[in-house]
Amino acid sequence: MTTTIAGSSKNVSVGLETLNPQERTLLAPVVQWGRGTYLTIGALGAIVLVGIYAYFVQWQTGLSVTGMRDTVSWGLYITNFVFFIGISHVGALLSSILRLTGAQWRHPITRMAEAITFAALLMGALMPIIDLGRPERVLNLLLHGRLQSPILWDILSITTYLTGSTIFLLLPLIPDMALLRDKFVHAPLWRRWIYKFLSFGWRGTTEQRVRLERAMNAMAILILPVAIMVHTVVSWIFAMTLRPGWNSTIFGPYFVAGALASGAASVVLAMVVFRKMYHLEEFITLRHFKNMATLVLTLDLTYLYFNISEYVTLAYKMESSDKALLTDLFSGSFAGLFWLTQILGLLAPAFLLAFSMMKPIDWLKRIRLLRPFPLAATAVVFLAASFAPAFFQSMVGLDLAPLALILRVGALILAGLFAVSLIPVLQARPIAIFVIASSLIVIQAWVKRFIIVVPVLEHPFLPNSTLSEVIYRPTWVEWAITAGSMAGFLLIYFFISRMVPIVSVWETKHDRKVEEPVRGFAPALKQPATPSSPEA
Amino acid sequence: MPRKLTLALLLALLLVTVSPLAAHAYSHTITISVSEEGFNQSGSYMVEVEAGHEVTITFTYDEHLDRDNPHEIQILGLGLDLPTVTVSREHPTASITFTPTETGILRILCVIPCIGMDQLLGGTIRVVERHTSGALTFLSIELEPRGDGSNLARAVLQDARGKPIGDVPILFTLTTAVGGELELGAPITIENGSAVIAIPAMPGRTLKVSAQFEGGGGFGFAETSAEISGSEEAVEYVPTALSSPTPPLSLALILLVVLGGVWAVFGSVLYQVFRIQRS
Amino acid sequence: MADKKINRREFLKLAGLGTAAAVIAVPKVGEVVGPALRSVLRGGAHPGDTGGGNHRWVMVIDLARCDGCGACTDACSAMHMVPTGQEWIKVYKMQHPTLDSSYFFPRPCMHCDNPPCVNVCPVDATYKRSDGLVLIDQDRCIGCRICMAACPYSARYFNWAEPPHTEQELAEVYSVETNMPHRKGVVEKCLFCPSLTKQGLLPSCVSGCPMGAIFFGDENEDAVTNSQGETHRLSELLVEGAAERHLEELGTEPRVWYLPPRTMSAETQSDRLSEVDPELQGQGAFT
Repeated sequence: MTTTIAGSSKNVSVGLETLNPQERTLLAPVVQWGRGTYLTIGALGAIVLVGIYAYFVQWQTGLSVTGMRDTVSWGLYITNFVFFIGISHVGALLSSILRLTGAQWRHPITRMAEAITFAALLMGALMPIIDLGRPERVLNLLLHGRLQSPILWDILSITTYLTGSTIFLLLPLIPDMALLRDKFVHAPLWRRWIYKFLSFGWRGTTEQRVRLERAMNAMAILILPVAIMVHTVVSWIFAMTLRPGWNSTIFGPYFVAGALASGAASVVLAMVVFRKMYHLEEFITLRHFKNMATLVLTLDLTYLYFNISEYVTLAYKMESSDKALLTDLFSGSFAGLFWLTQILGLLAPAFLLAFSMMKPIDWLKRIRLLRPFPLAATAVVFLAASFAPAFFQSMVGLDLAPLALILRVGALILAGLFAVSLIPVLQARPIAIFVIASSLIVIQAWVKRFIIVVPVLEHPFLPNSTLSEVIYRPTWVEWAITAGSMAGFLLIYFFISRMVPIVSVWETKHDRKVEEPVRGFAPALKQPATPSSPEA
Repeated sequence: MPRKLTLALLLALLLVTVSPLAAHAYSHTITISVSEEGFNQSGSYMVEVEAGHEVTITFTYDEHLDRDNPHEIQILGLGLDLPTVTVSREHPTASITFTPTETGILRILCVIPCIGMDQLLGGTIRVVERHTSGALTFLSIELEPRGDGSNLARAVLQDARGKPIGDVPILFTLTTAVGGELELGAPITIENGSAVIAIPAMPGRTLKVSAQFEGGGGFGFAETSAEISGSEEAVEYVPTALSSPTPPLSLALILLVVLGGVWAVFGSVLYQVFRIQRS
Repeated sequence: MADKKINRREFLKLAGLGTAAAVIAVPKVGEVVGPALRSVLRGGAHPGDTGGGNHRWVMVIDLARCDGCGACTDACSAMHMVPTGQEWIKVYKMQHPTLDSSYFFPRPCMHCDNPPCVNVCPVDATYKRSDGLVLIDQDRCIGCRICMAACPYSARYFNWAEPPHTEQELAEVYSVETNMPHRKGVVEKCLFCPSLTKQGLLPSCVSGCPMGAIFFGDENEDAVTNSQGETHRLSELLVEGAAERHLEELGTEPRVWYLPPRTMSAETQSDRLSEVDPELQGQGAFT
């Protein structure tokens, strides 16, 4: 007997017809690999290949193909390294903290979080090796390692965390692997072998459940300190040097906060994408988004707090060794990127998320003046006009500067009103907000790591006066390898989501599906079908 | 005949008084080897010559070190207007003779423009006043090791008849590891003609201590030197905990305990999985 | 009760799991225990490399005499066939932030006694020798460049590409004391010319300085000498000259001392130079 899974063109085997509808939805991406799957794998694979080719070029010629030179001796590769290790903290956050606090709502998303951790750690650990001048000597780290070196601490902690994450990814997979082993009988041989191996003889007996629970509890407690240790130790590559800008005592918690924020934001993005791609509306509901949004907001504000701590305390004093660096960050060549990360990358998402979680501020809509487009247009006109007085000043002979100032202040007020006018618009589309806010935070995370690494290197105690030596411009090799690593990350992640159900089947099985009345969301939002509907 | 005898006696007297002059060389021959690393003045970077006496300096081209560039040597200073001297692979030796009249420093440079080392090869000649005219004197030196590793240098100054010369300064210098001459001091000789100075302990080192008497008061210049080997033990250098190749024990233990603990838990978790498998 | 007897399949599974666990765990333990034990037993990467002769090298640079000519850099680059773009001893022009005065500052490697570069090296490639020198073993270096990030004096250089070679350079036998032939992908820097000092010669920059601004010697002998043969008692020179070390507050304990400059305008610089030696008037590059 054969049966068809809704929406597919393939005939699949007997086993799968015994699945209940929920299981069917969750397993659909695993059992059916359509054209889209192969296209995605192909596209991502192509980008990865470009990255590999770029590395080959680098291997042949040497690191001179990058933009790094003696002054800025670390660049995109170390940026990527810190970025990836950063977003890998999400696994510890969700699997560990939420498990220990008994938050049931984490069930649908722990696996996608752990998979991010796994993929991110793999790419992150690769980056410093790509950065080495003599990668063929990498074994020297094991053979001749010096325990006093922050790099050795990195190696020890990252390998430990990778092992722990892998275990913590595989443990809750066991029952689902067993499900696939039993039901997905027509899988290709290599997949059947994997399911068989990774299910470790699971039959769902009480003894096995007890043991699994015990194991997961142990890992949950352990993985959090390990995760904190990892990023603290990664930050110490910078903080254990004497350079102004890196010689800071708060780098440990600063990096951990940033890691957690970017990791949580990346999970939100994963949630949105998978929910759409695999039709998981039943499992990833508004409640999950709302809870994750709270988490992301909290972590975002925490990271903003650390940013303020770091930069304000330096800026207040303007010590001479910090001066050149801070001037460059606040108003010099890095000013654009810096303020982008702070305003667009941290402040804006905080506002967006806060508004999305509040009760709809309906009375705003009644103010006729607050229409986004007119306000935005007027603000832009005012700003443009504020440059005119300088132009006409020479002709008229009067001091027109106050006029320019008035116009600019006006533009600022209008911009503020524009932001306020957006509130009702945003509150009507919460998921859009989460996507925008989380994307901003993830992009900010990468740019911020760049801001931490490169400007400090451009301002050593004994600066080089040869500009070409000092200004860092990444080359195509570095961009290609960066793109390749991002694609590699996505490839591994996508592949995992196609090999195993990205939402844990057994953990979500018994979750209460009744929705609590969700406050703070506009009634215009579509509610998902509740389980009390007639689907069997 | 008495006139002839007087003449002969006068001549003999003249010869006797003049002979100390003859005994001290009028010209100094100094060999300086030239390469791109500089001028190797046989161990010392400063050559001393006497004012008023003819000096001959021979430059040799050091084939071992050099990279086949010719050098055009110029000696500058003290109002001397000397021609340049060229040494190269084809003409490996060349000399220049001159008589410095003033005291001071003469510089030796190569004047061929090249990768920026022109004019810049270091080398100096110091012109000093020395009372080489004067009665012959003899200086001897002995290094006596003291119990704590330091040495006492004792120099004894005597005239030609062996009579000690007291109340004159003896300059002691130490030849350093890089060929410098460090002035240790100039103690005055006592009645028995001896002057002493302490040389600090420098274990594991061969010390070359020189003493010189400048001359004056009718006496001529004298110098001498002696070597003594230090003890064989090397001074121990203790690196800081962070820079040593061996990790400090505390760090190793902390890492072992922390990571060991974590991996022990991993082990127990894997054991649970094993038991899941088994059941 | 489940059957406790282990059949062959279960044994294989057990063996497989056990091997997997061992493969992961043993290197882990080894990572920590191994280097520690190995270092203790062998005394580090370069056991017995004392540099011989029981020296503790130190350098004193008289900033009042430095005229910024760059002869030290040229001498060093020639001696070590330093790849283009690297200046193992680099002369900086230190401009006062508000006044119109300046002085010149030659910066070799400081060969610190608390070297930040050695502290962070993960493979013991750069190490501190008992004669005070910080050297780099280019056979060991993996090119991670954390030492470059750690050095506050920007004294270290990296070969980003294959360095240009001459026949002569390639003929050299590699030694940590010369770092020649130069290699791609590793770090190098000023070495205090150990190949010269062990012959009793001064380092290239020292003997190449026409002003005699750089003094070099053995701290154990308490004596330093310059290119003019001037030899001073080190302790006296430092005290009477009010010597300081650069960025002393960072705690790196550098082995290069600096006698204070007389910051001055270009005119005064020229006049001062002629006081030192009349022959030198007009010979400095920046007069």
